[in-house]
Amino acid sequence: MQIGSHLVATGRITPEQLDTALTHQRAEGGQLGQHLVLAGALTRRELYEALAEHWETASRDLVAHPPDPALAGRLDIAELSHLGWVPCEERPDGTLVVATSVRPTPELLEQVRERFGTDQVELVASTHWDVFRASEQANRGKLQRLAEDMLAEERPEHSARRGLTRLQLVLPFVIGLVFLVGAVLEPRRAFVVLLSATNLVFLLSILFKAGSSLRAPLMRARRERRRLAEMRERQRRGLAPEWQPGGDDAELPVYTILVPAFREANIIDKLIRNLGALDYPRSRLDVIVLMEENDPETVAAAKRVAPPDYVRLLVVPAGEPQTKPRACNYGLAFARGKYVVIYDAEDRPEPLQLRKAVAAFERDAFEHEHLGSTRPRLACVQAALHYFNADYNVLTRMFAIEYAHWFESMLPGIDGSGIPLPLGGTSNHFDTEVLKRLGAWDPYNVTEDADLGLRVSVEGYRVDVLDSTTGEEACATVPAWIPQRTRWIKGYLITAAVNMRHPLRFLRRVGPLGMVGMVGLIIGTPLTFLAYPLVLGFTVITYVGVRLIGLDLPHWVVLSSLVTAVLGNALMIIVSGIAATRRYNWRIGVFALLNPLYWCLHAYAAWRALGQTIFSPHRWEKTPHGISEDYESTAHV
Amino acid sequence: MTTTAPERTGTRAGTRAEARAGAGRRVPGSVPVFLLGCAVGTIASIWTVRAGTNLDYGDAMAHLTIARRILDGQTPGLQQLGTVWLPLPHLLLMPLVQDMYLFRTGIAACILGTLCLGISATALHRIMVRLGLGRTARVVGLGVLLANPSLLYAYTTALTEPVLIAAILACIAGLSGWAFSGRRLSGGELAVFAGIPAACAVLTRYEGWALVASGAIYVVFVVVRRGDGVRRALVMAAAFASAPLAAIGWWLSYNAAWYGNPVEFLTGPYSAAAFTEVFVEQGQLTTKGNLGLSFKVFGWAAVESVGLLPLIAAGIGLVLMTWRWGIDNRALTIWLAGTSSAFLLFSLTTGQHIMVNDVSLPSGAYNNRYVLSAAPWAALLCAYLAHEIGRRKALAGAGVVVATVAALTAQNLWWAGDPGERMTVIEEAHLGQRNFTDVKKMARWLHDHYDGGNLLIDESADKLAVAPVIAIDFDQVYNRAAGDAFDDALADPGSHVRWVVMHRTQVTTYATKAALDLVTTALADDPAFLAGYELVYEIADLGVYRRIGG
Repeated sequence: MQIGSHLVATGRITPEQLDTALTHQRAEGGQLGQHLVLAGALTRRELYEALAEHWETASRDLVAHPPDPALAGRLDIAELSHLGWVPCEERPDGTLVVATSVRPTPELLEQVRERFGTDQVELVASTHWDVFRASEQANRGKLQRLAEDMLAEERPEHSARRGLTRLQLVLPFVIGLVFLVGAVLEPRRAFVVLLSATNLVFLLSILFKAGSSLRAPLMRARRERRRLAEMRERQRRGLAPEWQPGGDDAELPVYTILVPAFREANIIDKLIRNLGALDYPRSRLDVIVLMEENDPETVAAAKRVAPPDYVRLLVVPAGEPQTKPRACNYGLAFARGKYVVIYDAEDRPEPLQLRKAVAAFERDAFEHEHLGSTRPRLACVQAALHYFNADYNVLTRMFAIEYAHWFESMLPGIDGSGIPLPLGGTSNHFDTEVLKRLGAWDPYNVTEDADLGLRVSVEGYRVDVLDSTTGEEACATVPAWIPQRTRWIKGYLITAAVNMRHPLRFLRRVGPLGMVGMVGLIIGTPLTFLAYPLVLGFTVITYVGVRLIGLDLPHWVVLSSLVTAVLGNALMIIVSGIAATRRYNWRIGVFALLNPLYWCLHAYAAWRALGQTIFSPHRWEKTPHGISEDYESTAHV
Repeated sequence: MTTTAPERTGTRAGTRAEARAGAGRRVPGSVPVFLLGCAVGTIASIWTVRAGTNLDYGDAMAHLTIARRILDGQTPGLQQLGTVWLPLPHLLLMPLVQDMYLFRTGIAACILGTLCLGISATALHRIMVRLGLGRTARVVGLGVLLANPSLLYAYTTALTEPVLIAAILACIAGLSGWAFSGRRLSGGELAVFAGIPAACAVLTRYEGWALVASGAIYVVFVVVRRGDGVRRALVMAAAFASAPLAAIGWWLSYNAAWYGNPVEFLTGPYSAAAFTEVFVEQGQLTTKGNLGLSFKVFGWAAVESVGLLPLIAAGIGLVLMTWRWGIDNRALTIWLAGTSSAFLLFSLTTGQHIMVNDVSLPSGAYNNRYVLSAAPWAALLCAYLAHEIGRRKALAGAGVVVATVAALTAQNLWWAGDPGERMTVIEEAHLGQRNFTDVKKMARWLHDHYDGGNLLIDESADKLAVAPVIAIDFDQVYNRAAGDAFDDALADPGSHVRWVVMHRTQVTTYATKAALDLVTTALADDPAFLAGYELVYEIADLGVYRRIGG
């Protein structure tokens, strides 16, 4: 008897519920029981009781009777995500009791025998939630080490755990000292050198940003030409105009969504709602909400919400550094998906985003397997981010403008150039296996996303920009914005420091374009903000000082400072204003005029970040979400 | 007295819907009203440019000239903004006047004025929506503003009124949008939507400085009434005032940087104080210390510029509003529009400002256009009156519109009977046109006969600010704005300039040194100059000289 018939026969479900579940199974694939639980026809426990009857085994509640940690702890943590069973106890007669949430088959018994060397096995049925939780509990120590130190121990050259090298630590002080000595001995010359240097840094960075933005429309046009050419060719061959990944929903891969949620008790219900809006078969979704052990409010809130069956709540044990990447590494060990994506708790991804990501990965695989593509393999696709509270206040508008420029102008301009793309903190979709091979996230790096983007390139893979967006909540208050931005800028500094421990080695691995990306994006971004108050302040001082106090400076210095400050700011206003107008509307775009003031905030955060980079490089300042509550602008519609 | 937002006080469905619209971020009708304002401004511009009256005011030509000098001249740069006037109108005109045609015809100012009229109308509309005034009331308010010929004329010239009124109205629109928003808006938004327009007003005319004070008080009132406390009120007031205070700081720094005196605009030789000193010495500043006469002069200017019928309606509206709204936030919003009038009255009484009209001592027509900034206040009060009448009876709205059209038509027909006498703004333009007749003839002659070479002229001298009529590139011109080069040309004109324009005898009507023709002082009796140049054109006391031999 099939399990469905058994469930109907035992009165656990109605025939109509069975029919509905079968229909879903035919459309989406997956297990029938999973569809029944997702539809609410029966509970997880009822299902496994029925399965126990069906499999003719006993059932076991692993919460009431947890496995022997010594036994369950012998599992390889690399297998935890997909085994589906856990050893519970060894009876005095040598029988190994194994709780399984998957059908007992000879293959399963073989797996047990391989790992525990015994044929004397008693299988008991348990829920997949019980098995997952029991495996996790028994392996916490190993998982914690994996999450915290695996990268640092296995690939120390990629880890920020060591922080800055001695040279990197000393260098800023040496530069400052040299300037001070110069200022005492030759104040005029020292001032000219400092002013020229800051202006040069600022100008080069602006030109890089503006140049990338100007390249974006060309790249868009090129992509569009290619797309049209491909459509024509496909039509000529009698194919559907657009390439689609093969098969139907039943062939879609399982997709893991990691959602780190620290101190997010106020928005946990929205998180579940937002993820529920994704257009992806529920039976193919594997959502893991990552909470921290020392954040009982969020854990309690998540339990209160009683999320659907495709959502797993995972409490990450307390440890150091308590960072988002550490939690993600912990969750990655349980990821069942072929692909994995990170969303922040407040994120609202576009419904089709997962499907688009699957299409991008499968197209890359197709091109490599059938068309002999010579491009690096695709490791990650980064979706664009926009703000759903863009016009909540002036700060959110500025943030929205910045993101519009970054994600929808600058990154698309860099995309395809060979320059490594720094990832955003959310909506980056990975091939799970490749991600694990890369060593996953560095828990000691406070911008693990940018770091990982660079590592992707160093390891010979590539990142693409995905034509899809995720709505985020822009930080709506300056006191919250400053720590967030400090962390980001600090992360860029640390990422640069980690990768530039051996600059020549880095250059050899990534090539000149990789170095351009490192300098233009990773180093250039914090340097620009560090230089900004000097560029602005010195320009004013020199311009006024030359007239008022008889400041004796070469004319070219005064003129070039003025031109750099005015031209640089004007360029940024124009390109970011255009990007924001395209993404939102002119009401948002016009606020780009306030960019110089916004950059003053950046400058403050940058100098704060520089201090933290030297004195507390691993400190993670958490950004609060939910400040703008339920406000939702229509600007992004 | 009530302090509730308008959306809570409406009694009819329509009113409630309108009030709800007023609490949102977007105000329906803004774009059509902006286009309407621009259309009216365009028609007015075509009218005045065709009639050739848009350059009748001497100040209009001076403003155009200053704006062009910033980029075109012997010594271009921000220092050309000078300290006589606040800089924003010149900065806004600057890109437009670089085109010689737009500069020469004054169309540059028409473009700016038309945009300002569109902004003014839109801001007025948005204020009325925020206040919960109905459609009829809004039509009346816009009618009073857009059917005012003195105001329309001013918006086609390069005077400062268009920018000032647009900035004041935009500031009040921002403040009302903040005050009546459906949710608590941040200080940043207040700074942007009200503070930046206030900063524009601050950099346009000194009435704007008063607006910052009244606006800050308004913010404090609103916040305290919300129950958010004094501390919060002060923070929000600071947010509002930050941009205008920064603008004031910049202006003081500019004065300090270029003139070595942060209050050069107040005490320098080109300041308003120096100018009024002449009148004081001649005993002609009779409004100083005389509140009654100041009020009378101001009132007469208002009657001739805003119109008697709109003023009567506004007066009734004011009484009615005070009776019904007391000094709640809505009433305060309308009172804000009276800031410039209060400041003007204060300036007249303290002798900071001169205004001459039929009831002043002595009589004449001078500076009455300043009172045009009272037009939006009158428009708001008329709109309020219409709102009160229109909401009482079903057909009253249509009646109010008909009555308004009739009143405005009657007012305009009466004005049209003798605009040069009944409309003091137009009267002053006519006077300007008469006073500049000779010098403009001279300027046109020079423009027609100019065959290259440099020109020496003291444009700061009495009635010589006719650069738009001469219409040659400023880098060919040696004037006071050229700084040392001007002195060099005065000392040795033969090696610097082919053309010289000057009064053949020094004009001494005005005693300020600024009005003296420095070219006349240097060259009128210089035999070497007279030997090297020939008088090629003369009219009245003006002469155009050309270097002998080319």
